[in-house]
Amino acid sequence: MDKRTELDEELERLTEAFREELKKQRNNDNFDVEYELIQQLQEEDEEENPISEDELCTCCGAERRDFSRGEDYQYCEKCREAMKHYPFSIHHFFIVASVVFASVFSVLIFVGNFNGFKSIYNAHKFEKENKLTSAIGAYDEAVSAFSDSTSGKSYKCKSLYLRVADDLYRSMPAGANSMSAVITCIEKGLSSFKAGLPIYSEYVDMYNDCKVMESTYEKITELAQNEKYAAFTGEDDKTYNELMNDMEELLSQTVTVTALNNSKSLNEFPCSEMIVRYFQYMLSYSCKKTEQAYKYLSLAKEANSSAVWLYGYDLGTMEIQNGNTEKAFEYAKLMKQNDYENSYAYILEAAAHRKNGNLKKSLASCEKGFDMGAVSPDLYRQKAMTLILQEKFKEAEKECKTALETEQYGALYFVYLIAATEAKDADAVKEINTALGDMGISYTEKMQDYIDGKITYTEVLTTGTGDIE
Amino acid sequence: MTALYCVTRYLTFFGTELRTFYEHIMCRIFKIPVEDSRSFKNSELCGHIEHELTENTKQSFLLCFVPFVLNFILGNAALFGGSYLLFYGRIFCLEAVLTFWLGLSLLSNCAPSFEDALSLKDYLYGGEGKAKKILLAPFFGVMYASSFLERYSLTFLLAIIYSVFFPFFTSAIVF
Repeated sequence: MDKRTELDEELERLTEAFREELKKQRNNDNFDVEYELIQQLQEEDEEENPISEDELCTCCGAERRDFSRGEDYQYCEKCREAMKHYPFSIHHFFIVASVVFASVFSVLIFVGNFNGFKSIYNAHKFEKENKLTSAIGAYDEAVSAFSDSTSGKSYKCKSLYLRVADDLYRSMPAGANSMSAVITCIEKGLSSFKAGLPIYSEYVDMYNDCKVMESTYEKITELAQNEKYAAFTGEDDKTYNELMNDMEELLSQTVTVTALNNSKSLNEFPCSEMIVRYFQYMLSYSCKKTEQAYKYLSLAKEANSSAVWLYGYDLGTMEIQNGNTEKAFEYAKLMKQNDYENSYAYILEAAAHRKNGNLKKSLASCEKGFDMGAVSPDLYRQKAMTLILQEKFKEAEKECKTALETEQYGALYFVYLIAATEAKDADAVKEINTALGDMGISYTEKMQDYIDGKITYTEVLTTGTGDIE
Repeated sequence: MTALYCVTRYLTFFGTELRTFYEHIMCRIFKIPVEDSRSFKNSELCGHIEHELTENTKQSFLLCFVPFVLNFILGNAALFGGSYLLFYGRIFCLEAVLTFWLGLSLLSNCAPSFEDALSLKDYLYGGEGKAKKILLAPFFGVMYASSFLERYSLTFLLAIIYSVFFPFFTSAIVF
């Protein structure tokens, strides 16, 4: 063992000496020859003194480990050099290419459907601002964009239909038409299988509710078309009471409704109390039974307090008639919270301000309504009434003309008539009377009194209902 | 924990393969010896290549940063199609699911190995150079934190959350 150690030490000293000589003899002509000699000596040395197993490189298992890098270093110099050029696996290149391709494809999908996504973004923005009418429009645009196959693949956006149904149900901008739209959207958005899942139960309830309201509405229409009510003009108390009782009986009746996307399955539900009460209100209001009208409308509210789209404006108007403008403001606020773009909220607010004598605030409410994109002609009518009270008759005429471009109805013509009369616009007065005659509309009691000179325009627009009737 | 870690690497196959490939390329560029370039192995280095220690800050930083950035960019690109269709438009279709899974795979394989992150930490904060430390601190912070979380497969969970909510926080910028 000692002999071996002495030999090793001797060999190391020799190796060092040779290395020094190698450096000195770099320019020596005999360098190559001497170098070969040294290599030969080293090989002979290795043959005489083989490398122990624990000194072997773990990679090639032939060379000595490079201990200059540390005692625990596992590889020889040659293997280390080779590891710097470790070959790539060919499959990596295929994977990189396919991932890059797929990522580009994904971006192209997004770009191809950009308009659809943007419409959804706008819809979300409008929903946050409670502008449900605009949100519904944006969702409709999104559905069209995704369904359009001209820019690539078309997609069925069932869940977008459900979002539309949600917003429609909350706002019901078109009354009975909106109910049908809700039903259609939910039928498009939910299959009969999905309808059975608990996460969609809210939409199933919405669907059933709309179906019940529709069916109740049909029952009431059928009732009103009964022969015994054909001659009813609203003045006969006996017929009035009969009709009221018949409507009241509907509350104990049921309607049959088909299950969602399953015409074979039928469900029975009680008639919608809210709809029955609302029609009772309409009947009493048209028969000029104001107290009863108020009672039934309040009952409609109690039946479904979230349906502010149904009772809000009418109840608010009745509160103004009763002198409770604060309550009218509350209803206007509720309507705005439900749908910020509901023009009737601004009409109600403007009417309440006008009743309180705050003409500037009344005008401001009208302007806010216009800013919301509300296009109801009644908003122009409200503005015209306020302008009349401010004695700006020409401006009031202008507002009425703008409203008439959208819709022509009695109340609008009456306000126009007041504005034209006060502005001494004889041509307009003649034109209005001709139009009223063509439409078969006769003056209300208040308007007749105004025409006859018994009351002034101020009394028309500030007393009683604060309106032309 | 290693078993769960390996499972998530297998589930996010594409991201794992790409990350090892990028690390291999960086080692080639800086002539760092590579000991084992397999993407999948049953150890904590699954999803990373085994290599010798880097020799300076630049090598260490780029070895961590380049794979991170490349996978992050490609992952987000994949999510534009997949995540927007699935969670924004709520449209369920094959291409949406595949591109979403691709994006998720890439994003959950952004982090460097913990050893590389520690090596970077030593180079950055073991020597001098205040400006370098401050400038690179945010990048180092993100990479170090993500490499730490990856050991417990939490990057996979974070990638899922990020992928699901991706359209909601990018929509304000994009639209």
